[in-house]
Amino acid sequence: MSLTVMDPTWQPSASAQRRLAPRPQRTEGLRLGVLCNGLGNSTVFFDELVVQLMERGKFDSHVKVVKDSKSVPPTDEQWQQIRTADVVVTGFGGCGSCSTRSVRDALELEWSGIPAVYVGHQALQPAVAAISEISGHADYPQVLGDLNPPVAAWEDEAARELARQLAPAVFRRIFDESALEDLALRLGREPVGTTSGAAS
Amino acid sequence: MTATQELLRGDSHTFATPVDFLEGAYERGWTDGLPVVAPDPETVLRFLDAAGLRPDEELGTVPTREVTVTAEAAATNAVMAGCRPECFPVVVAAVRAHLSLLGNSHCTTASLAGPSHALIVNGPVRHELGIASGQGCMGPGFRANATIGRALRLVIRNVCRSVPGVLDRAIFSTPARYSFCFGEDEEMGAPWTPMHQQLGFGPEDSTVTMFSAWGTLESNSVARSAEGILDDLVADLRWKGFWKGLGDTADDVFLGDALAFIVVVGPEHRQVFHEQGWTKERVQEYTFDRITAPTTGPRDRACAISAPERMLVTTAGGTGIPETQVLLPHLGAPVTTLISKGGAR
Repeated sequence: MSLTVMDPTWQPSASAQRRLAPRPQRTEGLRLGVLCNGLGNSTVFFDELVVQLMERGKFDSHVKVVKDSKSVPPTDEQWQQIRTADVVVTGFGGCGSCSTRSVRDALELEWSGIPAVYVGHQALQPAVAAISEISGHADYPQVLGDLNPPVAAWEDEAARELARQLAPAVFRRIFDESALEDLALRLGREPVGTTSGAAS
Repeated sequence: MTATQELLRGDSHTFATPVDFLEGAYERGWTDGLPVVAPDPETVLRFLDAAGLRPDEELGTVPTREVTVTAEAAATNAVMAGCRPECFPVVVAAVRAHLSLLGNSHCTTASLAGPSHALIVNGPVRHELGIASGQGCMGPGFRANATIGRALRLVIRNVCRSVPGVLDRAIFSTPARYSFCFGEDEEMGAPWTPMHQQLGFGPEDSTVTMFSAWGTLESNSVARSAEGILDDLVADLRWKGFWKGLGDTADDVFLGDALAFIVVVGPEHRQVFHEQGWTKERVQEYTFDRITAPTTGPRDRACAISAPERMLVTTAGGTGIPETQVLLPHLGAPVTTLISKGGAR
């Protein structure tokens, strides 16, 4: 005798189709944004990353927002602040919940027309990929480091060195290729443990 | 499709035999590793009727994961957990609490820390459903405790997509993630005010308090004074309980004043408090200054709760060893919701 059961995983609606933001075609005169989740010592990492990116990109200004908690969305006020930027870097994805929320922050910025880059730890790559797929962008790139521990309990100088290592990959993800060609900067060799895939 | 199935929105699957269903459930990743009960449409509807809910009624969402938890989805998982229909209103209240803002579902179910989701039940529903609050109440052996706690965890897995190794990144996880549900022993705790009444609910109200616990601590003071028991508890907590070294929940702006932890006083300690005439409020006040005093060294950590009442006090357990259990905080606050036939609001 057959048995019919209800699916315990069923969801009432599928995700809407959304598009990633186009990359800027110029590298000067932009406002850089950094959306930090406050994990461990990652604000030191981001402060150095800002220094590195500002030098490379000749940004006009920058804005840094630190969220109220590692794994929650920005508040309405924080969304307003970060959306004053032309491009945004989110992270640091070093924990199961904070990494997946950070990539979601990046995607929500993309959907609002602001190109974004997610930065996190290699160990959380599968979880971040899963959230990206749920969000409709299975191949959303991740810029990854492997400085342990993933939860960013780092010495200050180690955090800064990681930022210096990852800055080139972050920079390449921010801009359109034609803008990078016009920039005429000498970009360093891609760091060990960094992944930057094609934009979806 | 049967008339019953037409009332439900979800997909259905047909299996040739119950054994085929069980193997199919495992293959599809629907279980927590233990066998599950087949959620046939008629039974799912009975659960919805027991809670007075429509199938499409929304219990909450996890926006980061694009998840919406409907009453039907919760009922399906409650059937699988082995609940009786009359337990479903408690499950509904627990799910609503978990999905509330301060329940912080995404954080607490994806975190490396792997916190459990404790449910503490108060009010008359404990007796109506047989929710244990005495000897062994935090462990196996009590159908209502086991299945209600399990139903929430299956919702977390199946509907909220918290699958170990995918979105659930817990380093070790914990056996408490199979199920963690018990009642406050309000009767043996008298004259203490039950926890839910301290929180403003009435004596005829039944509630569930959902709390994401980053581990538990056992304090076994053999002191024969209230002060001695609490001094030992504070020492245990400051040395072992609040020391994580990976980020202080007290720094969490999102939680802010909602930061709390829960103390479950066992009968031996409770007797001492009763003999000395200490109310729960006095326990909270005595402990507050001591638990929040500034840190003095690397293995002495304070817990910066905002007020004495943010140390919630409940009582349960059996006699024998002087013992108090503490549920330690992760990044969600205790959320208490009313249990009603129409589902919690």
